[in-house]
Amino acid sequence: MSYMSLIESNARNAVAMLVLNKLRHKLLKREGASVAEPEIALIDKSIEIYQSTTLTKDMIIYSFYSVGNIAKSSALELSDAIDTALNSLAAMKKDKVDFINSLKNVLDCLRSDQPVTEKDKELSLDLIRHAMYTISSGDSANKDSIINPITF
Amino acid sequence: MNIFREIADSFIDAELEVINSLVLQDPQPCVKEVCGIIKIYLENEKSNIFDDTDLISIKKQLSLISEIIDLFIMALPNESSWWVMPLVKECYELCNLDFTQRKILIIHSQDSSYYKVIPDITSNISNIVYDNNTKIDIFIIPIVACYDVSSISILGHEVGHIALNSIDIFDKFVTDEFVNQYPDNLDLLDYEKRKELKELRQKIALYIAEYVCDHIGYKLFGPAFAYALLKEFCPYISQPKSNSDSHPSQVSRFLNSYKKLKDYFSESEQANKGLNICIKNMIDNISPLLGNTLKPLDDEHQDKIEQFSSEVAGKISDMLTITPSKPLEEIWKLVEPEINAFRPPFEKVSENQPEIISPIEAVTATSIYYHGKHYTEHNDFYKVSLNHNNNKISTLHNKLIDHLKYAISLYDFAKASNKKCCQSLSAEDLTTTLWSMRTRDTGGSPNPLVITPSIDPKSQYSPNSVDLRLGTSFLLNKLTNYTHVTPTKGDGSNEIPLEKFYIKKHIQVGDDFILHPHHFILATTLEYICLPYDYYALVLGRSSWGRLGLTIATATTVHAGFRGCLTLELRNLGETPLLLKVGLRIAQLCLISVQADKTSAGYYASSGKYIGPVSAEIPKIRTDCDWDILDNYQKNIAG
Repeated sequence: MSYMSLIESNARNAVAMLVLNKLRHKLLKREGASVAEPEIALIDKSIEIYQSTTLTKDMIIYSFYSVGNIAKSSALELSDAIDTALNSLAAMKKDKVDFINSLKNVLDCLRSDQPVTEKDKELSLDLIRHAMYTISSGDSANKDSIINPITF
Repeated sequence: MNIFREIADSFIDAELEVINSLVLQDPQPCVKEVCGIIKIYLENEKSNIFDDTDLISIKKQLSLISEIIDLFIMALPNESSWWVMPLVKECYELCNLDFTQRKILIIHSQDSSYYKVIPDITSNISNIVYDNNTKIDIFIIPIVACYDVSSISILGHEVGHIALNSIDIFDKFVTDEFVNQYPDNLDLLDYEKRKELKELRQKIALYIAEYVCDHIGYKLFGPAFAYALLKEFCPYISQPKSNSDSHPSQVSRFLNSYKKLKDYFSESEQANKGLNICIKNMIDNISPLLGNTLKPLDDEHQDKIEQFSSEVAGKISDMLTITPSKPLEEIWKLVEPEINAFRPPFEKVSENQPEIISPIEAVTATSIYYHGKHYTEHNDFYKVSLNHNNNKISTLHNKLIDHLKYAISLYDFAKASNKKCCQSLSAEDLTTTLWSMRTRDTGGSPNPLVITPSIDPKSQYSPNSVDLRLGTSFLLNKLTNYTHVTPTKGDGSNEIPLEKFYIKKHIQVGDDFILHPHHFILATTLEYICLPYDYYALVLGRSSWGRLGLTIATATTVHAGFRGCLTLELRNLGETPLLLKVGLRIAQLCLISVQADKTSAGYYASSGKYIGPVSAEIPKIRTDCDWDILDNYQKNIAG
């Protein structure tokens, strides 16, 4: 990847990580924790991309680096992280659908200012943590390429 | 404090230390502003660390911030490339990029072999810099740009990435094209298939972007860009690098560039002959490589991806409204006489208002000039220099680049002055001054006095002299451990390079330089001087400065036929520091007639040491033949 797309890839992952952590803080009821509407929308979009059975416009546009809004484009990276996290949870004999539905319920509750059920909270936290570690583990792979990028 | 917060504190404090030290080095205001925002963000984040997951989150943020801060450090003004900014600005203008909303940082990198660009760097920390409307674009210019005249035009490709960052034609167009091309791959329920398609999508997106940027490069720099790409990919055509995920194969881009270059050759009889010969020579330089050496990629799938990306990119670039300021032939007619005369391409020299040459025009024409070998029959230096042919070409190439960089660096100043001071200037206004020697002809050949760039002719030219301005290049004496300067040739082992006694400094036009009492520095004139072969000149101080204690030259004679910026030896003889401003009139040039016939080749046919300089140069006293004469004499006495 080029230097430009490496930085943006890191940036997108950083946005994804930050948004997930904010949601985690909110679910854990940490002091001052809040999740803004654009952040809820971002997670929503990433779930939509994950569940999509057709190629959507966003999926293609977000594939371009340096085009458009990085925060919005990070839905692609977030969707990837959720995808991989769900696969690793499935490998532990857990049902993917439960996790993704819980996360959707959590987002709905946040939007409507309703309390989140304990089950949805637990499953979502598990998924979020897995997704965050998925993003984190991708770091080392990028570093080598930054030192010697193929670009101009 | 919990252990996780303690760990995070140490990471954050380390990064804050780096940011503080960057701010202390006086970076550009936009960088300072972003640093301030990051510092507040990091300080606040310290209180948000509760567990291990928070730690990995903050490490991710820090890794990105650290990367960006490192780039800011590399882009500190001292390290920046001083000449490239007007060229980037012109590319922005032609690409319709709103310059008021963007800041440009330049990194002149010794470590990078390639041009790189990071558009809108702060958007990468958009979660931190929410309300910052100013976009900061970072260009990394490799050191090779200073040694290869064609590679400068690759900047056009990099500006293309910025342009792509700002256009919305991707929206529907690319989506439809993609879905039409890959309808069978849409098995999105399968995890592996989904990943595969995402990678394919990203690869194609990156390829399209690269191809579009190539098109933007062609639109901005024409054949110069095509040739630069051809040179860039030469090393890989017989052994293409393995498929890159971010860039199309070199072979494909090589063939595209070759085709483009051929398109610039005109069969028409009305076409400019000199330009056409140059293009033909450039094509001929490349053609032998197309035979046995060119090996296409043996990969049908990859070929298909490249073809698709290339076609889509072609359609996108057709929709881009990037129009060069002038047609290629006009650019050539404007710039070629200046390069022929061994002058930096500042302006078309005339007795009336000079026509300013833009950086893109200068780069395009200089590259064609050199690679098309136009110099062999037309360049004044090449024709008269007594050097060996290879040395001549090498010196000419280096000087063409120096002149090009110098002209680009002063473009904004020359353009602004042209608008303010030269508007509707005509020969009649200055008929009794030395300005009238600009188009001088002796015995049927041009033999002018040309001083460029023309900043304010009415105040600079008088009947007896021309005022000259303080230039941007300085050599400052530095304190060393050596006991004294030895100008003599050593035997190699004990020779101390004269460079060790000087520090180079570049100061922009309009910026200050303080000359302290009794300090001695080397500076240059801003103007490039071309003396006729039948006049030598004296460079003298202006009395207003002399009364303040400033002397400007101790070796005041300039040889007939000399071309270059004059090195000034500045010293403050007064007792108080003097504030000098780069661009101020500081010296004057007086001409003295000498007897010479028109066949005299002047300075370059003799053993002139200072060839077309545009910066203050280290003394070349060691190349004097006197050392050999004295050496020989001493040996004879001893023998």
